[in-house]
Amino acid sequence: MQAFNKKPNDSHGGENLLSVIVVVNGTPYTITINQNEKVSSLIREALKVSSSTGRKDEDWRLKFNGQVLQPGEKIRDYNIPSGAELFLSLDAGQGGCL
Amino acid sequence: MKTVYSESDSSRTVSNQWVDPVVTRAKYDEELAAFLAADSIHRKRGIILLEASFPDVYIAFCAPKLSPPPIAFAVRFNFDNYDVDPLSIQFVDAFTLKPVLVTHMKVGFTRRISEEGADLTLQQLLVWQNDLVPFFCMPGVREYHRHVAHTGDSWWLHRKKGGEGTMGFLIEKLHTYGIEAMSGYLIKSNLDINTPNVILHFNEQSIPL
Repeated sequence: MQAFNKKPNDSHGGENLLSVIVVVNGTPYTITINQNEKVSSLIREALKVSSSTGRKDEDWRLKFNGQVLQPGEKIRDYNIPSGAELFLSLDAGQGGCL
Repeated sequence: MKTVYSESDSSRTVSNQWVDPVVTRAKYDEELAAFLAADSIHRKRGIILLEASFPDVYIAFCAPKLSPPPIAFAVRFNFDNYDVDPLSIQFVDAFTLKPVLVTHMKVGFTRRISEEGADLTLQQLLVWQNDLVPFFCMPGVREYHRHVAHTGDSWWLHRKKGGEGTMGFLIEKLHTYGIEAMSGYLIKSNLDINTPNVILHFNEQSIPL
């Protein structure tokens, strides 16, 4: 009989879970998410937790270490460590003078 | 219109508060508390609270990537009549908290408005008129919405939409366009030198006992 060596938290996907702090317009929220999800899922979760409504998801920009995270990419692709601080901010409207 | 004296009058003598001050004070307290809750996060990015005295909040923006890290600029957020009116952003001296003219400013708040792959087109968000008083020209800022060039873009088109115009939002924008792309000290002489590190010089004759 073949023995299965199951990792203790596999059945719950625990090893894929990532806990990060997302700062939404200056206010921090701790969010736990599966790293195999896309960045867009993290953005949506952060907006839900922070009750930031009234603007489309596409109007928000998520950054880690100054780098903009692309919504279509997987979170895992960015090697974000647990507890990292990410910054989610709303795109500003057109301003300045041309 | 009720005219009241501001509690914070280091740079102003009179404010024009016509919204119930209790309402404005509640929103001021809420947004200041949100900032303070993330104080350590802001500090790591060089965003430091200098003073909070209703209806004003003074914040300095430093560039921690550079050595020594400079205070790039400082602002006063004014909450008069917020949020029926948007917040005002006034650029101030970080040490005296007095308003400064554009000649004092070293940051232009440049924003890229061209798409990736297209020719690079930049726009400066720091603007001023004949009085040389600089302001941050962006929706969500009182000075923007009151400017004659933007009368078609009412604050009420932006208010309460995803947090646009809150102090947290404006801090993020000031940081994004004022600090994020800052890479070094530019020393201009016969040879331009761009470096993230400079050595501070001390006059030996002035070194105290």
